[in-house]
Amino acid sequence: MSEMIVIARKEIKDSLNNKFFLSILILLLILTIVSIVLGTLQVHSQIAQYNRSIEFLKSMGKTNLPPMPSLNPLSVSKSFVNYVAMIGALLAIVLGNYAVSKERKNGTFKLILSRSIYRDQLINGKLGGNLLLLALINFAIAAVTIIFLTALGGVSLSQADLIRLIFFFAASFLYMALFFIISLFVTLLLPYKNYALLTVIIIWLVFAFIFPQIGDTMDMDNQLPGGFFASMGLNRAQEKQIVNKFKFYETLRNGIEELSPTKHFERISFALLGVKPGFKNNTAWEIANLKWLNLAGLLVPNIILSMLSYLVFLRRENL
Amino acid sequence: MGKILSIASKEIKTAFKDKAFLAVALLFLLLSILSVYIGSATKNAEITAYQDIVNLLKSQGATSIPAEPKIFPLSILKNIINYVAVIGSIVAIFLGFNSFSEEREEGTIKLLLSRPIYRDQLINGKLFGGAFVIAGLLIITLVFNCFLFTVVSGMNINFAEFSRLTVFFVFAFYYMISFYLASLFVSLKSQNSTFAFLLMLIIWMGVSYVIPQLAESQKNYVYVLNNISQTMNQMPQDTLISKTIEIFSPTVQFKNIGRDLLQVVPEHAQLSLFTLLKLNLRSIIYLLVPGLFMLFGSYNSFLKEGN
Amino acid sequence: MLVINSLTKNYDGFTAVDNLSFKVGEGEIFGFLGHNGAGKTTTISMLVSLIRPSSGSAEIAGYDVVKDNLKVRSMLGYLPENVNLYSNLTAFENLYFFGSLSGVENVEKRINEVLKDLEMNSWKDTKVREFSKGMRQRIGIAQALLHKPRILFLDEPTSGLDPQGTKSIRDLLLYINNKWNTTIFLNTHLLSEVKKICSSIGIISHGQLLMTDSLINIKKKFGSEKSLEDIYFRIEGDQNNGENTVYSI
Repeated sequence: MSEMIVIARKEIKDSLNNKFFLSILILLLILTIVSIVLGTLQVHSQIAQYNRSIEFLKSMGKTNLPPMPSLNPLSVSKSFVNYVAMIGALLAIVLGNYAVSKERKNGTFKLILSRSIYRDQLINGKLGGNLLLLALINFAIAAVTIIFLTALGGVSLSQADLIRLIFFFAASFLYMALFFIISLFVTLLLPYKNYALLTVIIIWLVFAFIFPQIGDTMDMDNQLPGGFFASMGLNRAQEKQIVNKFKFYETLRNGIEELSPTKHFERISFALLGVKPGFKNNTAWEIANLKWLNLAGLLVPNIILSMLSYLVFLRRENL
Repeated sequence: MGKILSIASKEIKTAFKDKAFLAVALLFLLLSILSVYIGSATKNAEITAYQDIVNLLKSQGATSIPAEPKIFPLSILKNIINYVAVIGSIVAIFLGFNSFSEEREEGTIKLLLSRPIYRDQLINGKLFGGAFVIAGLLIITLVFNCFLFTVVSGMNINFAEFSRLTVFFVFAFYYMISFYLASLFVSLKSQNSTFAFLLMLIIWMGVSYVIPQLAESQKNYVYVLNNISQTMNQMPQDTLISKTIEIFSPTVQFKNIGRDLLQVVPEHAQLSLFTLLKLNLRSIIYLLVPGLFMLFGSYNSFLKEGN
Repeated sequence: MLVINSLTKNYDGFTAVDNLSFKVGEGEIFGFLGHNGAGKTTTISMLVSLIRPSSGSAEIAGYDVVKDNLKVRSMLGYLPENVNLYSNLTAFENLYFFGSLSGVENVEKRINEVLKDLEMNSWKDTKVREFSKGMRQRIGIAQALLHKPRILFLDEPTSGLDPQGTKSIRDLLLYINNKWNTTIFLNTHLLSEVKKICSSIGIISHGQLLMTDSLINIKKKFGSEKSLEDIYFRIEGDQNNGENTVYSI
């Protein structure tokens, strides 16, 4: 146990001394703040805009008025989730890669393994240290978010809101952990030059951009600005009726999206942060239950890849 | 010129022997080609959906029927804009990030520079090599797309549309070359190719994702009354802040020009190419500047290095 | 063949090479000796016109390494320390590339000649990344020979090689020198290497030239010392301590 802690501690210290890692972390924190500030500005302008529109509509004698926009800057700033997803994933990829490639390059793997230490202690230490670091990073972003949301956004967070945020950061931790483990696994498998890093970046591109992008472009509603169905003047019920006729097409689209952990993370996050309408009255637990498939989409690959990493690490003679 | 070509052909050879580059280039080609399929399939689904909507509304006794969505041929290819913007730039980064740093790591830069060649010949050779690879990829995409387009969608494009498509590919080339130049510059400045790669990824993220998102968040979502249904739709509208933020992202500029050229914006779909380019002049300038800046930076830094 | 005059290189207040002056005659194998960080690589870099001297000058076959750098580079062959070549390309592709850059006519024929001379013909189509360190060095020397240079600059060519590899590179250098009368400028810190193949040596320490002469003259001068190693340490000892007491045996 103590060897494991020594290794975990070394991992954390090593990363915190890594200027590149620190730069990405600072970038992530700054973007979180910027996103909250811009979200706040947007909320104010939207409310003004909304009021003007309502005045106009009332003057035209309309009674069917659009609902008031959400007052929570987080829900307006979809980009917040995206930054965490994107930069957080890159951060995790760098951690996973360095955890193996640095030791390999400097020959320290051999030094460590020539000590009286088991291989599983070494990988446990690496996993433990880095996952703890990812948890700390999420904690830091959570703290910054809550502080700036209350201080700048003027939003008083209820207990339910706080729990939702905690759930969001738990999901974000799982998402980052997944990319950390993918990166660790691939780096263990590919020892030649920086091929491992390039390969993980390609995997990341496929998951984080390509699958969601294909899903997006197959979305009929996305084809016209403002939405295809809305431009055709359909309400939700009518839209559903039409979409039902394209079951196969929609299943295919959904299937492609579900291959992507990024989409899983996005779906849970949008529900938790109120970006996606329809979850306003649910508690965080209820949302987690409703979105169990997405949660599993993050959790299961994490477990499988951790096991595979163990396997490779314990069996491979030449690390 | 012979020496520049030697360097260029070496660059091309190494690029096509690099598995990581090949993987990302293949991904790009595959997606660009797939995008025609997806585009056509979605459009077909949309037309069927329209018929269903008409039937549904008629059965509900509606009197005003929404107009049939107008389909402009090139708009079927619109996904390619995003693929060039996101994956195309990554392809260029994969191509350029180690062009100098790896030569340094492997010691070959010393072998090159101890040959009777000028430093600018070396940089020109690398530039030509990169440009050739990027142009090659785009030409393959263009040819395949034109072919598939007629086969899959059954539509034909006229000369004006073909000119639009060609000009789009010229901009796509410039956009990708800008990223290649940026990678070349970073690679020149960095001793370590892994660091150069990660730095380029951060720049790519900032330029093609973070800045556009920031700009997007500052757009005004105005409520627009639908003529037919009398319902309210939210439409994004540029604001001064969103426009200012966008200046810093060549990706946004490229997407703006691309959307116009590929008839994604219905109001501009029938304009002449010249009018369209004049309309997009500001975007074109914002797109051109960073690439030129990087080109100058690379020359300047490499030529100075000898001192 | 090589004339160096007060050659100096400063980096931000640090003098890497200090006022170096010496000559190397045509057809000589010159061993440039010094400990790590003595200024050997900086000197070679200036001579092959990779970096510019801060002051002083150097000429190769009458051409200035700064003013006539293109001409100079067409006359020299260079193998830096720890060069890996393009590992994804084959030996032939690497040589073809470097040969073309040196303006070699009929490159393919010339590559075959050089590979035959170096007994590496059968490895022509193998990717360089599959080569052992020794093989890589041989290909490295091959690329330096393609354009029939009059002078070869080699920076620690045997570093990291096993005894067999070291011997084979040494034999190769003697062969090149005998066959084409190529002048060889050899950076090294291995005294055994110098003893076996060099006709003259220069010793550099902390950027300054301590002495240069033919090996025969040096041995005469330091007749009392048993070996080249003793001579080297004695000269270095003089420099470091002002006396010859520390290293002399």
